[in-house]
Amino acid sequence: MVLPMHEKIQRFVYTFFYLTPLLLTLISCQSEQIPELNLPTPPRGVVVPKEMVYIPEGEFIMGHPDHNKTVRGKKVYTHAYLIDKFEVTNEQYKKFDSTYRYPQGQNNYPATYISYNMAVLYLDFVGKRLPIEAEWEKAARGTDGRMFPWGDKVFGPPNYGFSGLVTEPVGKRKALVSPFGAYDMVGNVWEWTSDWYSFEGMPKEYKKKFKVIRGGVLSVHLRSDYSYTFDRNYMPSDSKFNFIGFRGAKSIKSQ
Amino acid sequence: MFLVPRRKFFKFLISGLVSLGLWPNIACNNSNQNKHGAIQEKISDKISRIIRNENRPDFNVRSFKPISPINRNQWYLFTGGLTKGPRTFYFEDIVSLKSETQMSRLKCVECWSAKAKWEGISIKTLLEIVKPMEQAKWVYFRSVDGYYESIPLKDLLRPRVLLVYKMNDKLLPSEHGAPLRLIIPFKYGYKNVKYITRMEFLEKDKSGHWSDEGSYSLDGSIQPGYDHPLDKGKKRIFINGGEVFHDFDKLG
Repeated sequence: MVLPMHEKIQRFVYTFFYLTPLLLTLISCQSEQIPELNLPTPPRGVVVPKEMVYIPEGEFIMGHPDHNKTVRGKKVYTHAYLIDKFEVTNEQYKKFDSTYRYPQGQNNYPATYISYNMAVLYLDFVGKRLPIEAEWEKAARGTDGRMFPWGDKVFGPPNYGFSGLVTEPVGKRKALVSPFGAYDMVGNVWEWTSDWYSFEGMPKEYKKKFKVIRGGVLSVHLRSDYSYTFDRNYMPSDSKFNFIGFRGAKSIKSQ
Repeated sequence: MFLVPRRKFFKFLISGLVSLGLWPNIACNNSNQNKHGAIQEKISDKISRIIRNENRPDFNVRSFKPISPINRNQWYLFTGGLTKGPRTFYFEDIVSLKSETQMSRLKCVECWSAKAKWEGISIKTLLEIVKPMEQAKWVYFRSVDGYYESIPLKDLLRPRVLLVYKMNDKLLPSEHGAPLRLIIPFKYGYKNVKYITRMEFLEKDKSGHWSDEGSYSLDGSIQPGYDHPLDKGKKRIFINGGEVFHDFDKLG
């Protein structure tokens, strides 16, 4: 049936003004909204390897006033340093330990079941070290005291409602990048830091028993939540679990 | 020569024997004024002993399927697969081995946990007899009620993993997995297999019931998050992951 001209025009106008915005909205919701980052420029002479990011010296807000096992929002100073953009992967770790096993097809997933001591040995092998807790949190949080690396918006991780953990390829969630350009600072696996776990009032017998781990997922059966940037967790240094991995750091002075 | 005709004699003999056989039942029924009540009592006894899910203030009971308690005297554990040879262990064989005790918490995916004192044998003690081959990397467990699980051998050889037959200094109750259950405290309750009858040593896993049924990880390691221990009034408490120790958080 041939439509009269006025009907054709009507249909075109309807499609253009009503459906197109709707389609665009749907497309923008589906795709990740990757934030624009204002990454700091390293000073002259500082070489930043492509797999790392530069964190300038200065203060940042650490902890949260309502969380008594943190430093409760105190301003903490760090020197400048470099930190890995991504968690150490299975493929990378296997170059160090040929006996290391991981599921097929997961070369680019975070390396897990690695104790604190083995993480230290690996990083020494590649010329790096574990970050201290303050370095870790600053890299995850930036300097404006945000709750999550991407800001303060709350939403669930991909394995929402799962009694376990499903890791992902490192850096998959581009929208969840930290202000300094580090990925998976929450979610994926918790990460070893070099600090002993301690808090004000901790019984003496627990001092120097646990290492701090940071940045993972918190599970309660039917839901899982990303941890906050300031959430602290702890594990004995010989622990090996599917939810613990690590990333490397480097002091600027050692270059 | 029969004084009584043969057919009549055998009829009397058979009916006499049948009467004798039925006598206890008849007597019971006749002596019990409420015949119907006597039958009901027997059935209800049987029903009350069936193990099924039940919430209890000290330690919840969870069972894959409702089952009747298992008689320890008739139970045995079969081990096989990639081993030096199949073995059968009766209850007295298990309790004669070197035992270990520990206090540990069982944490369920349903958010609750409960603590108990467990006594049993380590997997290492069992392996000294079973002698798995080098290729054996997994153990496949089977239970009386059809439940099944696969656990890496390296996880079973970690400290504080026991095959237990005692709970709180008494023989393991039926509802908590008697005669023998697994306690692997750094994994969720669904990996702590109850009423074990079979352990097969394999090169690869054969999955687990809850991994097949729903989105529960085969690994089952307790993740960092929150717990609601029954012995602490189901108060929500942070847990760091792995085996749950609440005492460390006593300061809040």
